[in-house]
Amino acid sequence: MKVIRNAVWMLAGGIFLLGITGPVAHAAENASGAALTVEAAKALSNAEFLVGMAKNKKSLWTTAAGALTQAQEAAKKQDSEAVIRYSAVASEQAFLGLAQSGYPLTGAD
Amino acid sequence: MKQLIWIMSCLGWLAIAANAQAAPEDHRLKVVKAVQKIYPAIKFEDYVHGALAFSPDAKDQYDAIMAFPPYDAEIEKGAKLWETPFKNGKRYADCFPREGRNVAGNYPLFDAATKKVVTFEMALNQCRTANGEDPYKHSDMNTMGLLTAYARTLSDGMKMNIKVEGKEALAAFEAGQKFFHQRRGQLNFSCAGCHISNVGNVLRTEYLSMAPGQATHWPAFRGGDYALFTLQRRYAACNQMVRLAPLEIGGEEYNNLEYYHSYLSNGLPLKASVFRK
Repeated sequence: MKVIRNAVWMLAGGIFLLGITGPVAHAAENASGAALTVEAAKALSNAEFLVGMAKNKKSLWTTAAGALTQAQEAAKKQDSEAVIRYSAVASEQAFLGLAQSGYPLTGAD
Repeated sequence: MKQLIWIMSCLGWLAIAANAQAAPEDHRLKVVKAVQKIYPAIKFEDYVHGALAFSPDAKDQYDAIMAFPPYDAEIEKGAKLWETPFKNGKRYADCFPREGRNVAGNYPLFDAATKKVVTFEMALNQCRTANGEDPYKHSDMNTMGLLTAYARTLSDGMKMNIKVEGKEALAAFEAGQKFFHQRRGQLNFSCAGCHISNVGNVLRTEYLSMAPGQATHWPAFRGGDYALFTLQRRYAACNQMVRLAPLEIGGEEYNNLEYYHSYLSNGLPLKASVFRK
């Protein structure tokens, strides 16, 4: 009985310790400069490419530029989830800007 | 026989050249007629007042402000910039015919040598560099803005007189025309969509002004703080409003746009350094 009681206390203690050290350990890992996830790095790279292309074509929307800035800021903080989210917006808005240059002209002769 | 062929080919080239000039003029007349059809009561010469042409109250306010412009001190700063000699003793007035009077209406012009549009601001900078001075940044309202706030007033009353002669000039005109008619920014507006197709309608609490006449009254002192805006600064601001990242003030795109846009105002009198909301 005593053995079982001790085992239960040890298990509870272990769970408690994991509960408080898990997130801290995760944050520490990020703060120490661990690389972004592969997916995040790729998303950011794609967004930078598309935004650059839109800028060269004089078709860059401010929404694309703004989202890319937010993705780059998130990358500095190693926030992969935010990088992916903002990069997706930047890529989409940049793509739409590029596509817009093919729209028919308004009120043309 | 040889003489006949020579005469015929010369006549042919003349016809082509005339046709090239006819195309911009046909387009300008089409735009003017489109506005006249919707607003027959507004006289052509009143197009220079833009949105004010739709609101007698706003026009009265404008007249009251223009009687004693609160930004006179800024124009005086511009006058000082204009009149201060360069280090070599020459002045801006030495770079232009008639000492700079009645010249602004000829700009933008197409320089056949460089094959580029030259705006009045570029001509001022050419004067600076030819006399050993550094050029001003086109986007700097404290130098180029103030200089043009005075220099352009020397052409007040002059009729806009933009020429499009030759294939390359026509290409620049058409590039500007395309820019004006192309949808841009996340809001998907084109300049023409507002200032040709929706003239006189209200957007953001203001009447949409007609394209002919717009290029005649710059720079303008805008809003409650009378911020100085050159025409290209206004292009950048408009682009920003429709959520397009603004292009370079003084860059090729805006220069071609100004070339086309100014052509639409041919025949209308210039008046610089005016108030606008």
